[in-house]
Amino acid sequence: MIAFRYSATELTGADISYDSAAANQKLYNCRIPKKPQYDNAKESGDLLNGYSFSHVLWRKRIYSFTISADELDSTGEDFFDNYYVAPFKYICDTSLLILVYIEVVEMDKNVPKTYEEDITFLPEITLLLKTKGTV
Amino acid sequence: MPDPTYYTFNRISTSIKRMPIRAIRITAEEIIDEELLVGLREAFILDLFHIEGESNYQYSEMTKPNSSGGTVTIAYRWDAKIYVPHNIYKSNNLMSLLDSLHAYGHYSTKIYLGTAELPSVTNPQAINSDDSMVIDLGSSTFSYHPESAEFRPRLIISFTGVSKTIKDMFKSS
Repeated sequence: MIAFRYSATELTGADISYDSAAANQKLYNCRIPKKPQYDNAKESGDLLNGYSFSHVLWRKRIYSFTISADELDSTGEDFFDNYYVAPFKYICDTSLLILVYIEVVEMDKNVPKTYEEDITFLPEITLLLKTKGTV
Repeated sequence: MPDPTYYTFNRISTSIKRMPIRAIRITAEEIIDEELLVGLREAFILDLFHIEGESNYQYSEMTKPNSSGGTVTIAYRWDAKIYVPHNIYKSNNLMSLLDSLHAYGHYSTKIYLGTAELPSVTNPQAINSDDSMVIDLGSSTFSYHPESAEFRPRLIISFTGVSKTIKDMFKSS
């Protein structure tokens, strides 16, 4: 499962370890939990002597999760509304051996929410997040 | 480790019952306080007995694929088609009652199966029935239209709706 947690203050020290009873946290199986991809920033160009260069400046992980109406209800919708405006956002894959929160930032301006066949109680959210720091 | 609990369905002689559609009841509800949108009062109740054998209801899943190739059920869609034989439309005000349901905006529908008794009215004798059950369609929307069937006109009322779960729609009364 993927734990989504938001906080008004940055998690530091021991707080970065996963806490199943943490406030402002929800766990979802996610209908589509995509494996992380990378977002690379490169500086590249051609030199006057004919050589080319391509330096990786930084690399971040991109996560994509789709949570559908089978798991998402109006409480979940409210949660993600708050998640998107919170200053500190975290995710944690609870299937891993070492459970720590990864700080992420959202890549969409608004909560990417759609409704199945325009039915208001069948919401679906596709989150596109990337790590705040480099990896 | 505790032993698992077993749930076994194997006595078909006592667990398969005949429960044809006996009647449907549509209850029109009126909002008592229009300003606050609170409080519903039962305005009128429309009971339809002796509906035709072609009448049926069915449920289907609304599914979406997941990332491991399976499907996830996100909701259930149902539709019920009720064939109503009472056809003296010029005097039985059936269509105007159905129209006024739309005007009220709030209404709930129940399908009575087998020997299920409709409260507060005289129920005709239930036949070919071994047990009772009530399907609560809630405030599902409906449409209706007349059609000709051999020697007579008849009315078809179609109910449609979507629900996240359906297990609570089947009730004992």
